[in-house]
Order: sequence, then C-alpha cells, then structure tokens
Amino acid sequence: MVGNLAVRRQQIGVIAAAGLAGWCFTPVFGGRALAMPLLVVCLACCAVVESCRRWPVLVPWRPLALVLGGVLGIVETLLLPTTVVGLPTPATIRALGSGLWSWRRTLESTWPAQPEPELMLFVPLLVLVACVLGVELLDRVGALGAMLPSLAVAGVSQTYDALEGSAAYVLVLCYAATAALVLLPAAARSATKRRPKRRDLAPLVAAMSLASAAAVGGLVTIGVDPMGRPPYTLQRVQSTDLPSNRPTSPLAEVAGRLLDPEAVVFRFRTDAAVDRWRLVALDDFDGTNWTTARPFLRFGAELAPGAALRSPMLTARADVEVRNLSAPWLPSQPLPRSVDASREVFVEPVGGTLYAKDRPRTYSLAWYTQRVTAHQLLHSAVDRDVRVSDLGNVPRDVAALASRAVGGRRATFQTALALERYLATHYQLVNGPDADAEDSSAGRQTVPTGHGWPQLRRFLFGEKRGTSEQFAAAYVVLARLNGIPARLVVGFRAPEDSDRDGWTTVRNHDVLVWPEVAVDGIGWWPLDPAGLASPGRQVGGGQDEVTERARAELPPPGELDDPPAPREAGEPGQGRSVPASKLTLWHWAWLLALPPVGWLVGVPVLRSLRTLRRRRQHGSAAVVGAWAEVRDRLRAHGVRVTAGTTVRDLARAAGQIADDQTVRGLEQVAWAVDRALWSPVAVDQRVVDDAWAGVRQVNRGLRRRPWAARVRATLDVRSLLSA
Amino acid sequence: MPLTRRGWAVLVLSVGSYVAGVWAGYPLFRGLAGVALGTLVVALAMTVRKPRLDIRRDVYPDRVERGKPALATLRVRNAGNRWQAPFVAYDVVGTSRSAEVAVRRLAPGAEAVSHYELPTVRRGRLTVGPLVLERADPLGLARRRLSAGGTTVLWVHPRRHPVRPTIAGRPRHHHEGRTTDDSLRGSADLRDVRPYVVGDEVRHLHWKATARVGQLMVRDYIDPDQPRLSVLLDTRPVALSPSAFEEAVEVAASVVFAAAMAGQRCRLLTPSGWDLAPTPGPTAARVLLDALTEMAQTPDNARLLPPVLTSSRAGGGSVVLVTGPVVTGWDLATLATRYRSVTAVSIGPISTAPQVQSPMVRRIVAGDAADAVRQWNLLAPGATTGVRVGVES
Repeated sequence: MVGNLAVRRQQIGVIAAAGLAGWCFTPVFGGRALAMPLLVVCLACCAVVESCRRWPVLVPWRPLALVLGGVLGIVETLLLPTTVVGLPTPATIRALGSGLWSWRRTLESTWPAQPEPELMLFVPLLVLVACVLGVELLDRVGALGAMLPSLAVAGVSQTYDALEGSAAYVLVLCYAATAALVLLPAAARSATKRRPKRRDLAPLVAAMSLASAAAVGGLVTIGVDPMGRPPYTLQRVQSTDLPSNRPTSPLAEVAGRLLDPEAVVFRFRTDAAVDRWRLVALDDFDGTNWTTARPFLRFGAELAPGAALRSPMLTARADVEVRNLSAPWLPSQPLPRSVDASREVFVEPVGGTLYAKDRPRTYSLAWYTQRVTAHQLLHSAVDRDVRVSDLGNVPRDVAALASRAVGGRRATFQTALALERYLATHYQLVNGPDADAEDSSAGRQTVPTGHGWPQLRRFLFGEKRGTSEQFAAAYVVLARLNGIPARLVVGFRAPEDSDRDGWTTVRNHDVLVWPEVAVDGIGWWPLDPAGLASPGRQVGGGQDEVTERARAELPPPGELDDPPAPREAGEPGQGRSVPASKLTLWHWAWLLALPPVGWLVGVPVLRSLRTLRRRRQHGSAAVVGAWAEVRDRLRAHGVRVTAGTTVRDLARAAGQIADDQTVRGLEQVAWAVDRALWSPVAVDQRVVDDAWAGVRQVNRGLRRRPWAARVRATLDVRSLLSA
Repeated sequence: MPLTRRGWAVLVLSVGSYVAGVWAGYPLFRGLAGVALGTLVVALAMTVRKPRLDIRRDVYPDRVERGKPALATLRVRNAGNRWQAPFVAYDVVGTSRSAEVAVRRLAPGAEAVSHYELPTVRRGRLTVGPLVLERADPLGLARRRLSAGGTTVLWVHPRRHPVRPTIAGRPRHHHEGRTTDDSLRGSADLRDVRPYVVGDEVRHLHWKATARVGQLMVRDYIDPDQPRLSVLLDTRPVALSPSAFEEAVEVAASVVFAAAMAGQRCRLLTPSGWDLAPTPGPTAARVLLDALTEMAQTPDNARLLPPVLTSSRAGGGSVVLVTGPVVTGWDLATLATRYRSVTAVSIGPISTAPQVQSPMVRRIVAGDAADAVRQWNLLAPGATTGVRVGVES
C-alpha cells in the first residue's frame, strides 16, 4: 500500500511538473488563456493513470490512453467550436493538424500572443507529450529520467520568452517541489515510527534544511548573473522571413498624393488628441532608398510599451475606416497597444507600423500615449542605446552642412530642435502643385520628388525648397551625421476639423513625412521641420503641442549651450528606479532570511520573557516558576528530564554535565520547593528569593560549560516549546 | 564524494543547466541549477558525519541446522557525546545483506537493542557483520556506507534427518585379530607383555613380570581394530549435480551425526583427499558437521575410492558410500572385500541408476536425502528385529 501510494505520488509529481513546464509559456500567452487547457490535460492524464492503477489490464495501453485522454481534453477546451456537441469532427482533426505548426505562428506573433487555438495549441500538446513520456519513463528509467521531458518543455518555453526575476524564482521553487515529490524514495523508511511524534524531528529537520538550501541556491543563482547576457529568443531568428514581398514604400507615393490632394484616404474617430497617423517608419538609408529591415510580427493580444520608456502611460483608442490606401499599410500610432480587426494584422513594434496582407476595411486601434512635459523633453538626452544604420558614403558638402547646422554641439534633444529650426528657417516648403515648378513641356503640374543623395543635395544646396519628404529625409541625414539617432516616418497629418458624424476624414493633401529622434526615457519623438517651415501652420494636439512648447523654450541660436555631460550609469542620484524583478528578488531574500534571523533573535528573547514572567509571580507560584526555570535551562543543556523527575533527581543528573555550583544551586531550589509545597507555613518572600538565588547559581554554573554547548542551549527551541 | 548515481546525474544536469542558463541568459535554468546544487550540498553535509558507535553482536545459536532459525542480537551504543540521529543499518551476512535494522535516536551513552533473524537457507559458514550504516539524504542524492563493529561467525550445518546409527559389529575380544598401525602407542589396550628392547617406553615397564622373569618386561599396548564408520562423500562434480550434492551432504551429515552421537568412531573421506577422523566423543559430531558445512565440490578427476580406503591395511569397519547414480561394480567389490558392511547411497534420478547388485553391498537409490534416509532406516539392522548388539568378526 505504501509503495502504491508512493508510485501515485510520483506519477502526480511528473504530471504536475509537465503542467508547470507548460505554465512557463505564460509570458507568451498570458496565464488566463493557458490555465484551462493545461489543467484539463493534466487532470485527464491523472485520470488515465488512476484508471490504469484501478484496472491493471489497461496498463499496456496506458500510453495510448494518455494520448487519447489528453487530446480529448485539448479538443474540449481549445477546439470546442470545431466540435458538434463536444464530439470531434473532421474540422477538429484539421485544426489539430494545423495546430502542429502553431509553434511557428506563435514565433511570428508579438507577445503576449492572441489566445487563439491556432497559436497556442502546441503548448498543451507539448505538455501532453511530456506527461506521456514522463509517466512511461518513471517505470522504465527511474524518477530522475521521468523529469527530463518536463525539463525539456521548460527549455522550449524559455526559447520563446525567458521568465525573469520573481516569476522565474516562484516557478523554480514550484518545479523543485514537484521534483521532490518524484524523487522521494518509494518506501518511506522511518527509523522512528514507533517513537512518540514529538521526538520525530530528524526527517523534518532534514527536509527543512534541504528545502532552505534549495531556496537559497535558487535565489542566489537567479539574482547573480555572471555574464549578464540578454535571454536568447527564437522570435528574432524565426520572424525575419515574414512577409517576404514587401510592397512599395509609401514614401514613393508622397508626391503623387500631393498631386491629387482631395482624395479621401481614410477616416477615423477618436476622443484622444491625435496629431498624426503613420503608415511606415523607415530607418535604413542606402543613398537611394529608405527602407526598414525590422521584422514584422503577428499582432498578439497586446503589446507592452517597452521597458526603456519611463513616462507615465495612458491608453487612447480610435476606430479607423480605410478608404483609399493602395499598399497594405494601415494607419497607426507610434506605440500601438492592441488592434481589433477582422483580419490578421502584422506589426513592426519598434516603428509602430501596421501591415495586413488582407486589409480589413475597419479596425479599432488602441495605443499608448505618454505624459511628457516640454521641460522634460527639452532637457533630455538622445537615446544612445538606439542603433541606427550607417549612412554609407556621405557627400562631403552634406557632412559640412551637418556640423554647420548645429554649430558642433553635442547630440541632445535641444540640438535636434535647433536642427529642425535651422531647416525650417533656411528652406522652403512646397505643399502641393506649384506654378513655378510647372513642367511646361509636359503640361503637367509637378512637385519636388525623391529622397536619395542627389535629390537631397539639390534640396540642401540647390533649390532649397521641397516637400515634407525632402525636409524629413534631409533632417534624418543631418541628425544622424550629428550623432542624433533619427528615422523617417511616412504618414498623414490629422486634420483638426471633424465631419458632422464625428469622424475625421484624412485626405491626400494631409500626407506628411516627418523625422523622429530617439529621446532617452521617452522613446521616438516626432518633429516637423516641414510644418515649421510652412507659414500658416496649425499645431495639432498631442505630441505636437508638447514639441511646440519645447520649441518656445528653446534659446535663440546664439545662446544654445551644451548641457553638462550626463553622469555615468551607476552613480547615485541618476533617478533610475531599480528594476521591478530585482526588487522582488530582494524581497524573496528577506523572506528566506527571516526564519534563521527569527530563530537567532527570537528564541533568546522569548526565553528571557518567560523568565521574567515566572519571576514576577508571587508566593509558591514563584518558587515553582524557579523550579520550571532550572528544569528548562538544564533540558536545553541536554539533561534528560521526564515528568516524574524531582529537583533532586535533576541535581544528580546535572552533576554529569555541570560543576558543583550548579548542583548546589539546584539543591537550594529543591529546599525552597519543599518549603513551598509541603510546609504548612505560607511561603514568604525569603523562600522565593532563595529559590531564585538558586536559579542564578545554576546559571552561573552553566556559564562555565564549553561555549559550543552554551550556544546550542541558547538556541534550543525544544526547551522553549515544552514549557 | 559519496554521491549516488542519482546524485551524479543531478550534479551533471545542474552544471549543464547552469551553463545553459548563463550562456543563453535564462534565469529559470540558473535557478533550477541553483536549487539542485544547494540540495546537493546539504545532502553531502548530511552524510559526511561519522557516528561514534559501539556495536556488539550476538548470534544465537552459533551453529544451526539449515532452515532452523538463528537470531542476531545487535546492541548499538552511542559512544559520542552528542545525540545520534536515527539511522537505518544492515549487517553483511556472507555475501548478502540482512534485513534492515532501524536504530532509534540515541542519547549520549544510550543503547539500542535490535534483533533480526539470520538467513539459514544455505549451508555454509556465514560471516555476520560488520554493521553497515547507510547515511543518506531524503532525496537519495548522497549515500555513505560506514562499516562499524566486528564480525561473528554463524555455522549453517547441513540439514540432518533422523537416522538409525550403523551397527557393524563390535568384536568381543578386541585384543585379538587385526590391529591398526596408524596410531602407534596410541591406545591403552594391553595386548602382550614382552621383553624390553631398547627404545621401548620406560613407563610401560611391567614391574611384576620383570620381578618374576628376571629381565625387563614391558607392556605392549596396541590399538585394536575397533568398529568404525567410514563415510565417503563423493565431491566430484561429474558424479553429482550441485543440488544432488547438497542432498548427498545431508545424507552424509545425518549418518555421521547419528554414528558420532552413538559413540562410534567416525571417519569422513572424500575422493579429493579429505580424511577427517576425530576422536570419538561429544565434540566429534561438531567437528564432522563443521567439516561438512564447508564441504564443496572439487573439480578434479580423482577416482571415487581414495587410496586410504583401499590400501592393504584398510578394512574392518563399515563403509557408507554417498555418491551419484553411477557406481561401478569394481568399486563396490573392492570395498566389499575389505569391509564388513558396505552401504552405497546413490542420490539422483532413480531410473538412471545402474543395477549393480552385490549380496555384500546394501544399495540405496533415492531422489533426495529424505528418501535415502527413509530407505536407510528400513534397511538398518534392528529396524524390524530390534537392535543387534554385535556380530562376531
């Protein structure tokens, strides 16, 4: 029976370990989505294992039964819509088959991914495989081998998104607990089973020391990372082959849009202050074209704003109705949070670019907005951690212009604003078909086009007039030459006036190309050199408004001054908050340290309080208290005391470990106890004092014992408990 | 390091997990490695301390028939000055291990007594002990075996069946007739009084005869040919399979023991050259049984009958031949001409036993020892007519 119970415990441990390994996928799918399928798979496996124990004839069929039970559990939780009253249909089989590739689709998504079966099906399937292998290996290879499948599943989960900090620690502890369930020997051998329970401390002490060593070891190794490498993730590797055929860049369409200004592009409705809508962010320039090589991912359930952003975040929402957008780009915002669309939407999270192969007609977008003040913006440094691509062979005159434009100042946000002001004051915006630029031979209206080096040079040194395309491209080039990380964004300016139905219509003439610079702690911040150059410009809400206030605070060109160099990281006063995970790990360390500290401090304190309480009593109670005191003291020193031990018995027993003074003290206490308990005369204070003088004598005698014995006696918990 | 296989596996796994965790930047794997390493360190610490124990072991009885109970009493005293945590130990018995003995928690100087039964299923000389303590952690990652205390010997004698002792005749006038020369002056039976020759024992001078004859006369003591039982146990593997050999040993032990307890002189021989003839008396049975306890088959091609049985001086007593089914008529005839009574006990499949018949030889063919002894008792003199006291030689 004992062996049977142990096997059951081991099997449950193996199944629980597999479930925990599946739980490691929570950063990818979120706990709520994963909980039900994992629980059902584990329970199904438990039920099968239990049935096999009940009917041993089933044991040869156990692997098959486990697979069938687990798959049925997955079908009933994740694929219920494909079934007919819970019964699998061919559609269920197809969904299961396509679920085998869900691991790949998940890698192509942002995380947390949408909790849809076609994405998360592989997790319960992996857990099921780990359960089957674990239960079968338990009988064949042994306990440790049975843990390997779940360990492998945990490894797979980490290649998706590694658990960190407190979450990792809690999971490690839970996994270690299941491993202990599995590894504990089948026959629990108790050498002391016939002893009274109170004495049966050794197994408890052993278990406690193992558990605390495990907890401390885990805490130390999680908290101390010797190499500090970022977690390796498959997502970066896997997602690069997604969408392979990029459509034409919206940047090439800017001039064309300006020629047909009134065409409606899209409409939107929102309560938030929106100044622009972006189509695509481009950060690579090869001298001719602006592109981006950043990967596109399936839009998951929700995007996080990014750890580097330290401003308070708000969420804004808008409904968008697409009318006339040729390319599959969808109007978006810099920090998209979630998209609710009828079709699958891809996202490039860094640029905030949305993309849909099969474009939905309407969708609603939620995005993060930051609360940034102009002062904060103006005194921020640029984000040097952002890597932008090299510009290649820069024409020499452009490089010279770059340093001239900012006066050789260090790269800060003020410098970025100064550069914007430079472009706006020295160059002229063309915001539509221009009579001066009319191509008389073709009889067509034209606007300046192009964004390669020749066109930029013509803009910078020749005509000195261009559309927002040239302004933004020239700005990005000049900013990067000055060490300011900048990128090019193509999109639309949001019109201020909305229609009667509450929607706002965006037309072709709203097309805008603008530069964005990476600001430390704030992220990519949009500027508008072209808008600044236009005479009758209107300042939109949102980020434009903040930028405008910052522009107003910007000193005139001659008074610009380099701010003091930023302090090195690690110096105090930087204002950086401790990362949340580290903080919680420290909490864990405190929690772990609490029991030993409580023991070291608490036991002596409690003992002193007990002595005080005994000493404060009156009459014979005080004498009996003195007896209890010496009894507990000597018991702490290892003298055996039973219920029938008298004071004189104790004196004899104490003589073996302590000196004569202790024995004399005990005899004094014995005399007082005799007087208190047997004498017809009421106990007076003299007897009480005698008794406690005896206690002091015993204490003095015990102080002569070896220091190790005294430390043991001071920290002995049992003498405290038995009082 | 006293790590078990599981402990080594955990160590390798945790080191691998740590390296993977550091290299790939996975805190989960670093944490798992930390948990495993912490557990290993504590597991090793749990097994490192060697307890100070005084161990006394009594085995009662120290000689036991196969299959009869023998009890070991183990007294473990904590000789250290610290409490000794409870532990599980076992005794090494021969090449196997005894049942586990759980020793309770011991105060300094306290003693725990445990009893356990010793395995007596196999004949042989068993060395009991030393006590092996296994100190292990609860997860079975580290285990240290500590040997403590000395050893005791348990003799597991072959099983004995009740046997009528052989009575092959006792000569009335033992000072006449044949003598055995292999115990010169070894006996106290007066055979003759003869003139002294140089070299005779002076203490044997017969003073009355000397006075009467006028020359030095000495008593001539000789060893008369007393009735003796010689048991020849066939130890050749060609004759007996190992299981049949065990049965043969039981037959030999039964016969020898009965004869020795009846005060007869016994002699145990094997084809490989064993020849044990203890002095008759109460210790003879024990000596013979001890010898049979350690008797093993010896793979050599010796002949069945050792030369000491067939030499010209041999003969006189009775011989019991315990062997396999194949017995040649020549061997039986050789014995029959020299000994008064010859019994051939063949252990083995009855059908394969050759039908060598001789009126001088009692043949017993049996499948096992019990059957052989049953037949022996039926054939034994006195089985039906009462005990015959002696036969004239």
